[in-house]
Amino acid sequence: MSELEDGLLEGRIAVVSGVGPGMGRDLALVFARAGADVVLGARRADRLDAVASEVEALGRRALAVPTDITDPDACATLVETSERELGGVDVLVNNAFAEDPFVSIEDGGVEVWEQVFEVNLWGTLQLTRCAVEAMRRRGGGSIVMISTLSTRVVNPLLGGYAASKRALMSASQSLALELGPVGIRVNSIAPGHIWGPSLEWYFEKLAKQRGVTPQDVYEDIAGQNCLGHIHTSEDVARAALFFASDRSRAITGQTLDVNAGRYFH
Amino acid sequence: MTLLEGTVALISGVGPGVGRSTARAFAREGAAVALVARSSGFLDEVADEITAAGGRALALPTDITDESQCRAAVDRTVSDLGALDCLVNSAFRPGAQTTFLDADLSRWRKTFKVNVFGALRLTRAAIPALTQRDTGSIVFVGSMAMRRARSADADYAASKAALYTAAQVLAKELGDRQIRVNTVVPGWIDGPNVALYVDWQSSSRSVAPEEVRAEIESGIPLGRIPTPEEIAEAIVFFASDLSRWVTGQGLDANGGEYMH
Repeated sequence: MSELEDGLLEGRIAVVSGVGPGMGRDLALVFARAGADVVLGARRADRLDAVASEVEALGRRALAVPTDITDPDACATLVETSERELGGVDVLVNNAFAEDPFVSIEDGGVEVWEQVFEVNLWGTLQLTRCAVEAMRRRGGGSIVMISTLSTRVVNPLLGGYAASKRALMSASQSLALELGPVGIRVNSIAPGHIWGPSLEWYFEKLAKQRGVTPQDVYEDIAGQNCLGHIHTSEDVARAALFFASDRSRAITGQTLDVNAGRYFH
Repeated sequence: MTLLEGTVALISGVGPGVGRSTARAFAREGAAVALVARSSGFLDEVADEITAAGGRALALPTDITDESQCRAAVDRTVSDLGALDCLVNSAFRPGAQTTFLDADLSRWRKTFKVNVFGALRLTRAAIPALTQRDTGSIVFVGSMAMRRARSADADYAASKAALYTAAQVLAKELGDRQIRVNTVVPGWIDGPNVALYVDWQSSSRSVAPEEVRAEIESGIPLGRIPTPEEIAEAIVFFASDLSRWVTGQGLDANGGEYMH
């Protein structure tokens, strides 16, 4: 399958935020296989270093830059490092996010939502603004926002997360309008359930609650998808690759739902 | 370029616009292509071009409103190219371009006969062959007409909207066979239709053609009218495994003119 990505980002420099063991890692590896050098931002240096080694093993350059996107100076440093060490920024994937603490607004108060917005909206916009300046110097670029099915299907106790991602989606459309004339495209990917350790943990919890096996829970939830399957973050990264690459050069301001047919937009 | 290496695609509506660009893009990515349109002359030209460049192409003149011709086209594809992995429904008939009050509804039916029922006939004929493979992809081509209502466009807009909805229903029905169904929704597409519109506006409003074109471009954030080649790239994406877990979705390729 790796030949799929062949050459789609040849010679490009991609900045990926929120790089840990999940989606961020897959974005970095898929983009590296597509020919990009990658700049990895996240708070934990040990996780960044691990992914950077994997990227380098693929023969691409990788920079690990510990970054808290809620810190404007850290965002500037991430982008400056990319420009100084690799020569610029062509692609930014905003993958960093704060999870909802699973509490209602009545119990948690507005402060809980504010904390989520601090990362998902304000931090993301801060990093985006830094990257846009660098992209302008390159004469264009592509920004991909990792959104969520929660913006489409409302779930209890996920209000802050959903609202922050909806706000980001709307902001992304404004950015697409504003940045189109300088050749910077802005699109979003809205993934549904993603198979991995945290969903596995959640299914085990549900299974105990329901008195069934985790496999029963999987079949129930995967069965709500047309394709009867829950895909991985690597599968989502491949769709993000299309928006990152020039293949989508006529597309901006759009959102693609990658959810195995769970929900149609 | 290998996004579609080893696959076979059947592409309807192979005329000088999106259909031809799609055929070329699929061949570039390694797909063998069966090309469908009503008349053979242009099909042969495109097929010859692809074959000369080292690809595999089959010209299959077909009236998609005729079920037996649809079946024959699919049968020929499978017998000559070995299988069918992807169907691209880009065949369409332009609308009557009359307002509802002036409309001859029998002419409107003809729009639906091709755009909805023709596409669905070809799709139904293709499903058994698509089912034979581990995965399959069906791509429909929508239109900005269904996103942005204009006067005197109801038959065309409604036909594409109906097809969009049908695609989502098919995504539900065919998901358990791992057949994905998605729609690319183009905005303006550079070519003869833009030229016609520009000439018409230019003469009816007595403004320079360049001015009319600049008006269109000024409404597009990316500042230019997308080309058929660029629409074809979105179709390639839905045909490829890059979108392996995407089904029932629409993707607007319009330079950001409107955002869905």
